[in-house]
Amino acid sequence: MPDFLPKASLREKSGISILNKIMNSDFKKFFEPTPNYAALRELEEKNYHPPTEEEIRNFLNFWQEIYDFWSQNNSPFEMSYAEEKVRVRKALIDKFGFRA
Amino acid sequence: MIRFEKTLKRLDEFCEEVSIKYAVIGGVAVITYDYQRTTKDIDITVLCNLEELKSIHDKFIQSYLPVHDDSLNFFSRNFLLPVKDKITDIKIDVAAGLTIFDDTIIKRRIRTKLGRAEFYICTLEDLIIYKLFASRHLDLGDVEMLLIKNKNSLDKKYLFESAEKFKELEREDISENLQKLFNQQIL
Repeated sequence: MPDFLPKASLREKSGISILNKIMNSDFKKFFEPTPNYAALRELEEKNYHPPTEEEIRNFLNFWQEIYDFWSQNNSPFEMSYAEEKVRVRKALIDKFGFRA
Repeated sequence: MIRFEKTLKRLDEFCEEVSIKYAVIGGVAVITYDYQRTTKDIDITVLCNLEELKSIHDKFIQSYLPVHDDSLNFFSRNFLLPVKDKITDIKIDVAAGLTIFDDTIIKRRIRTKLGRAEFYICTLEDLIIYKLFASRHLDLGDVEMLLIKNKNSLDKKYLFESAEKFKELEREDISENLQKLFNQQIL
């Protein structure tokens, strides 16, 4: 055992081993370092419903607001940026060739 | 109606009027398939061949504002025509659908609605394949969310068969990434 850890009796007295026992039980899951994606997906699926008309409308308004903010705060160069799309287009032609 | 809806509606009417077959792809298609994220423009692919590039360009330029000065030259070199709607000022990137893949996308396109706009959109499966082909982080993130949101309506057979075909074109990553994202979702 590394010597920087308290002796067993001391750990018992300080409550560290009790804490470990608790941590080994149900409480431990709250301190799980990696997110439990399976549980998260299960929860999401349980609560999922296709967006309602009202939710879609709220989203569309939000989208327009974000777009307006973005377009007012970006240069015309940024607005016309299409390099990535050109790359994909040319890659498609490179792989498939031109349709006869 | 927000400006994006108006732009989509006007675009659909315009393509109908000048007999251009198109399908919405990209961010707007992702949003329409229930993954609500924002996007800065509208991406469409239009069915055409090399000889028709000028005519497609001219039709668009009659009704839309070109983003680049020498737009025909840009379109001929890059097969992408960025234009802006004269009324809404929203940018539309018109991709020349010159490949057999674009042909498939447009043949399988479906009519859909987003808010109050009605237009043609690529199918969910073709959108996923297109995104896997583009393969940027943003695209793979989109695919992950599209799989989650549409797991019950997805044509898995078509999706995997299409991804498999890309192996012959030395793009094994498409089916590998699809499989990886599927396993991750435990679909």
